[in-house]
Amino acid sequence: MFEWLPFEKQEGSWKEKDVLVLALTTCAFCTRGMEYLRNKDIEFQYVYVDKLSPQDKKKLSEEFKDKFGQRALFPSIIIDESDFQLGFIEKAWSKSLGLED
Amino acid sequence: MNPQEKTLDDIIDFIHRAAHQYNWAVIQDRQFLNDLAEGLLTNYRRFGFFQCPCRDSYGDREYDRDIMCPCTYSFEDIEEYGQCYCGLFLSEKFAASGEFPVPIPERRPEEKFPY
Repeated sequence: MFEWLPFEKQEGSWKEKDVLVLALTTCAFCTRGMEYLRNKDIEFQYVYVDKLSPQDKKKLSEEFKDKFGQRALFPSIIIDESDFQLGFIEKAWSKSLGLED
Repeated sequence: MNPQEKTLDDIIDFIHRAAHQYNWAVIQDRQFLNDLAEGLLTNYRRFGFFQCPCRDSYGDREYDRDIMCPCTYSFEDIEEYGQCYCGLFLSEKFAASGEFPVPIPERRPEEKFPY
């Protein structure tokens, strides 16, 4: 999914799920969400959407809507290409990742 | 002022003046505040105005007037949720509660987005 996007990889020892993050460089909830993943040592890929070209932003927006039926908000986390969460809510991300106690 | 000359202190001053004008509180968490102030500074340097740091849009002053910080939607959001979309501005009541802001529903209409 979104293979054409210039994702950067954050290495981590937890690799049980394929985790993608759509973020903005300017958004504090994005920063907190990615900090959460790093603190859990979760491997993930992320892209800063505000750095993309307008053409790529449009393509991403359309693909996201086609797949999930909603607009991508920031941050968005996509897990195993099927589950997603809009905005960083620790409990919701934890549940989607299967990390709930 | 040349947008490139704005400093982080200028942005934090702007945030506090805006909050004072509308009787809002500013998020107390220093890191979260700094992250949002840095985001506003980035957008000011990019676009020449305070585009909301939590949304992606045109970067055009006319099209994005509604999301120029403090955004048009912050008034209703603070009324309903006690916080703006970014969690930067809070109602006095919310601030006193000690709760941390959370993501809230996007109030900007779909047709306002470029993509």
